[in-house]
Amino acid sequence: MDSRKLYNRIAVLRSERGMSRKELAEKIGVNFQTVGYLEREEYNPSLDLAFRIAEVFGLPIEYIFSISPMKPMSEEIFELKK
Amino acid sequence: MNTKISLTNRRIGVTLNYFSLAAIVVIFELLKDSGCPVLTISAISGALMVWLVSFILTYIRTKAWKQVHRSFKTLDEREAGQAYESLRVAYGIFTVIVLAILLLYSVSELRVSIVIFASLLYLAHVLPASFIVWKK
Repeated sequence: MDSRKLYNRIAVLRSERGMSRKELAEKIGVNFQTVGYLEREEYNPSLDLAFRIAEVFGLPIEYIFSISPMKPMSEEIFELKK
Repeated sequence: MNTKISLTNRRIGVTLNYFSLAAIVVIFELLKDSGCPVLTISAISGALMVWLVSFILTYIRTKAWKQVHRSFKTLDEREAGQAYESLRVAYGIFTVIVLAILLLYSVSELRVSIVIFASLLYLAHVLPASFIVWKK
């Protein structure tokens, strides 16, 4: 079965927090190359890994992952303010 | 796996490695009864050098060999998925190769030499790594 592509905000959230790929990889317990695969959306994480990523960033899982392309965060904040 | 080496170079490495392995086997099988050990040894040494260099550059430097030989417990979920897929494909290919060789040798009533045996043993270990190096 072909799985659907998952879109994510890992790269943006990681750079916002000034975290290196290696640091994030250590926190979520994967190889640092896997973080690269996740950020390029070339690999869909398991539910467990997705929750670990959400825990590290302290955000709800649906804010990090989506099945449709995600809007830029600035746009979402602007809409929320409206 | 280390992907700093380009896909083209990795594929060239895999091809060279298999060609040099085949060359070692063919040279040994053709020249073992030639009565010219110097020629046999020098020809095999040349192929062996190509095999060794291509093995180090293709499988050791990319860490693909390590990935398929490490315990699954030490791999993350993506690496484990890659290793599982490569082992599955390699099992199918290896089975067909071994059965074809056994059939060929039994039909032609030849004995399986130590070089064929060693090559098959190497093949069993290198096929999963080749799959990763070739595809990823």
